[in-house]
Amino acid sequence: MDASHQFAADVASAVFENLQEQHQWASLQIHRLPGLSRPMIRGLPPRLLYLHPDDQIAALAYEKSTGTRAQHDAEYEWVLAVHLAEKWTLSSLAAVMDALPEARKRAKRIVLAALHNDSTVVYYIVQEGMIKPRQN
Amino acid sequence: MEQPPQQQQLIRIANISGRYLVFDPDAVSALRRRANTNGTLVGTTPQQPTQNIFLGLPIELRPEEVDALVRAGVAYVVDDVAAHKSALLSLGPDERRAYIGSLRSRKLAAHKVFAEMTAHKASVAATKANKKKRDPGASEGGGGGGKLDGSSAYSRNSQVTSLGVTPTSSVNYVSPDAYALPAEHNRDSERGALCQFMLSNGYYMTPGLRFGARYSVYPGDPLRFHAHFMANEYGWEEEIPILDIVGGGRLATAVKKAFLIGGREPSATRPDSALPSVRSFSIEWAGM
Repeated sequence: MDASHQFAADVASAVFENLQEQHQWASLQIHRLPGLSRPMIRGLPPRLLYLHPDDQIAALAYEKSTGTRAQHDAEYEWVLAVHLAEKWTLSSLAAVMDALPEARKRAKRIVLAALHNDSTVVYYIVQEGMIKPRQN
Repeated sequence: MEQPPQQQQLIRIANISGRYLVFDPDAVSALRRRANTNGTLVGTTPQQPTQNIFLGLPIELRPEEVDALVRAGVAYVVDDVAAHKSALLSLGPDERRAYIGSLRSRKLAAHKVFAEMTAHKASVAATKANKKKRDPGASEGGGGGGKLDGSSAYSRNSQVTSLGVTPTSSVNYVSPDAYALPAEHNRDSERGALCQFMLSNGYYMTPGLRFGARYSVYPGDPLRFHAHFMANEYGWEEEIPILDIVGGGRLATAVKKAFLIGGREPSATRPDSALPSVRSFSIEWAGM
């Protein structure tokens, strides 16, 4: 295994630990996707991580009409672990998106985990295409 | 009233010392209605140039916006310095008289509008005064005040007649398509693709510097909608520091927007469309 592979594997394992211990994700696994040199992490967050704004509106309407809160089960997420000092390109991001299996509904999305040297990990949701922001 | 497309006039964009400006108010409104392009108001009064919060015509367009408009067949670019120079040098006595005549007619039109406004104000004041008169509690002083109002309206009126008219555009005496520049289709084709893509999909853009990006992207007219995206364009193989994604994503989420990065994908060809194939990614803070 060469140096860059080792680096990517180390970053992925640090993020893996962070997801498991700090954010209580379950069923975590490291995947090697065909056509992709970087490892991808897949796991189940304790609650739904992302709700599309149109689904948010639908959920609010449901709550208003029935008086009960709409139930949204957590969904498995793909996590791409990167180091903060890395530089990515549109083409490398597109390669990651292309390697993912098709999303069940809505656009393909990944969780981008950026790891810093002090072990801080920040998480961003990256979606394919122009997806309007969530209301909060 | 929407005109059929073949009757719509091409919009004239003036290129002056490397900047792209539109002076004609009708062209500006057509750009906004038909081509979802706002531009940025950059004009100010020569006498009070410090009033820079309320800028007026002309509007300035970005080079990539101009490129997209020209490609879409909505506008054309002219070398306005050369057009003006030749128009002014070739001004014969007849043209000169016609130009002065056009200034005079504009002035008369402005005068008429002012006169109508003061007449309207005077009539409103008169009806108010009449109401006060009928009101038993009101004194004669109210009527006197009304008269004073009338005289001040008159003095304002005489000021108007002494006002000169400074036309904001010179459409009347510079031939509109003189010195038209050829459409620069061979310009660096990787840059501006995101702008072209967003314009053709009905998005509006304003400068994004206030939110640390190149564009603020609106789903409709910025007067009616909040921006949905802070957008940056990158080349397909251009390096993007992860810190920029983190910073842009965090800031955009803090102002209820998504951070959008995108650019032209060179390998993907779309023979069915003249539009570039643009790939974009929306980034939001995950909240964890």
